[in-house]
Amino acid sequence: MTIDIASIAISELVEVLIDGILFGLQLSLLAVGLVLIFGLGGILNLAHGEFVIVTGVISAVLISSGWNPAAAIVIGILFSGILALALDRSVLRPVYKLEGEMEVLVGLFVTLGLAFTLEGITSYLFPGLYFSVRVPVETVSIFGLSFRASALVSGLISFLSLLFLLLFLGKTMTGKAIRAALQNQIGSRVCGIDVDRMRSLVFFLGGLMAGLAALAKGIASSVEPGSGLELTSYALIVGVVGGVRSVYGAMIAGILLGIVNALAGYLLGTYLTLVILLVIVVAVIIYKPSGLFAGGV
Amino acid sequence: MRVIEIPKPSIIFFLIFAALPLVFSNPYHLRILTIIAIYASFVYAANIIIGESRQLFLCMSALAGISAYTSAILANSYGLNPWVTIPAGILFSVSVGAMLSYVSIVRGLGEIFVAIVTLTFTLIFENVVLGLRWLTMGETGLVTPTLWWPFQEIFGRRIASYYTILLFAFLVSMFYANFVKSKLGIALRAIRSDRISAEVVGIDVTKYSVIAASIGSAILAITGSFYGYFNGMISPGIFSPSMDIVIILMLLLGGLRTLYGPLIGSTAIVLLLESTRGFGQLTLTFLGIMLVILILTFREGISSIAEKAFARITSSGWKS
Repeated sequence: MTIDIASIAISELVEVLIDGILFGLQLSLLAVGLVLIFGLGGILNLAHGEFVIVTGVISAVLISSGWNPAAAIVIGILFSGILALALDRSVLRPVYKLEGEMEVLVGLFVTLGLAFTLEGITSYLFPGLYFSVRVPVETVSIFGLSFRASALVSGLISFLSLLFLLLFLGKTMTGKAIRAALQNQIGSRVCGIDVDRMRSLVFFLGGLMAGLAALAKGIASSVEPGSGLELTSYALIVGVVGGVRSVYGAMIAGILLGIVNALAGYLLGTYLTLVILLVIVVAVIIYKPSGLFAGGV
Repeated sequence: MRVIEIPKPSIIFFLIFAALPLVFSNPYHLRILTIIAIYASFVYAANIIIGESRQLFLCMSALAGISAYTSAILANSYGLNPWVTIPAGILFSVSVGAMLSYVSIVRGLGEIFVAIVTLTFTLIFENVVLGLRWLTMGETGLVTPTLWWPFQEIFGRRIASYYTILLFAFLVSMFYANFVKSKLGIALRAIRSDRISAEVVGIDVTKYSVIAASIGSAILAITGSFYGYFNGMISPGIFSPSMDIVIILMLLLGGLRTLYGPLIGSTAIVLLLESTRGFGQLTLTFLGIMLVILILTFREGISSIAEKAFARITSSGWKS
C-alpha cells in the first residue's frame, strides 16, 4: 500500500515538474525579447508586455472579422515586431544620445509612458476582448501521465521559437554581429558592424518574440488588454534572475522559475506563489545584482 | 539658532487653497481640493527621496499603503482611536523605507536596480494585501474606522478633514524649504553632484541617504493614513503602482528639486485626471503620452521655467 501511495505522489510530482517546465518555456519566451532589447538598446523596455497584448488584440480582431486564424496570428506577430521597430526609430532615438545611467533612467520612463499609452488605447478600444486559441484535444496521456494538450502545444511553440532565436544568433552572420554588438559596442563598430542597424533589428526580433509569446499564452490560457504591465513584470522577474543582459540566462531562469512556480503552486497554493517568485527576485538582486546566469550572451 | 524660513509664495499658495472652499463648497469640489493637498504631500516626499537623495523608489504607494492598512487594521481589531494607531503605521512604513534604502546602498545597487527592487516590493505588497483576505478584505477593500478631525463638531467632517490635510501639506512644504538648506540637505547635494568626493570629504553616504528615505517614508505614511481615513475605505487599487507613476509625473511636471513644483504638479494633474474622467481607460493614455513628452523635452519642469521667466521680467524691470 505504502509503495502505491509513494508512486502516486511521484507521478503527480513528475506531472507538476513537467507542467512547470512547459510554463517556464513560456516565461523564457516572454523574457528573451526584453533581455535582447536591454542588452543592445540599453533600454529596460517596460512596454514589452504591451507588445504581447498588441499581437493578441490584432489577431483577435482579425479572427472575429472572418480572417483565417493562422494568417491573423502571423499578421499580429509581425505587427508587434513592426511596432517595436517603429518605437526604436522614433521616440527612443533621443534616448540613445544620452549616456550611462541617464540613458537607462530616461529609457525606463519613456517606455513606461509608452506602456501606459498602449494599455489605455487597447483597453479603451477593445474592452472585454480576449485572444485565445483552442486546441481540439483536451488531455494527452504519455507513459500513464496525463497532461493538458494546450500546455503541451504552447510549450512546444515556445521551445521552437527559442530554438529559432538560438540558431539565428548562433549560426547566421547577422546573428553573430548582434552578439558581437551585445558584448562590446565600440569594438564591433571598429569591426565595421552598424550598431544602430543591429539595434533596430534587435527591437524587431524582440517584438516578434513578444508576439510569439502571445501565441503561446493564447494557446495555454488567454491574452487580454489591461494585463500588459503584469506580463512585463513577469518578463522583468525572469530577466533579472537570469542576468538582464544574458539571453541564455533568461532561458534557463524562465524554466527554473516555471518549476518553482509549479511546485509552490502545488505545495502552497496559488496566492503565495507570486509572492515567493517576487521574493526570489529581490533576493537575487540583493545578493547577485548581475543575475544568476550572467556571463555568456 | 538658525531662523526657520517661511517662503512667501508658498504662504500665498496655501492661503488661496484655504480660501477656495468659500467658493467651491460642494462635496465634489471639496473632495478634489483634498486630493490635491494629499498628492502635494506625496510629491514632496518623492522630491526628497527621488529628487534630493536620488533613490528611485517605485514603492511610494506601498509605503503609504502599509501605514494606512496598519493603522486601520489596528484601530478596527482592538477598537483603538485611529490617532493612536497612526504612529504605529508610520513606524512600520519608516522601517520598511529605511531598510530598502539601507540594503540598496550597502549592496551598491544602481538607480535602475533600486527601481526594480522597489517596484517588486510594491507588487509583493499588493499580492500580500490581496492574499490576506481575512485581515485586509482583499480586493473589495477595507472600511476604515472613523477618525476624529480637529474642529469637526463646528465645521463638519468634510471641511475639517480638508483643513487638517491642507495644514499638513503646508507644514511639509515649509519643512522642505528648510530641509534643502539644512546640513542634511547640503550633504545630499554634495552626494548628488559627486558621490566619491563627498565620501572622501567625510560625508556618510549611507547615513544621509537612509535618513532622507526615512523622512520621505514618514511623510508618505502620514499622508497615506490621512488618505485612508478621509476616503472611508482603502483597497489595493488605491495604493497600486500607478499611484507611483502619478506622483512621479507630478514631480516631473512641476519640477524636480523645486519648492513649488509639487504644488503646481499636483494641482495640474489632479485637475487633468478629474476633467478626463469621462474618457475611462484613455486617461492612462493621456498620462503615458505626458510622461513621454515630459521626460524627453523638459526635465526641468514648469516651476523652474516660471522662475526663470519671472527673474527675466524683474531684472528687465530694474534696468528700465
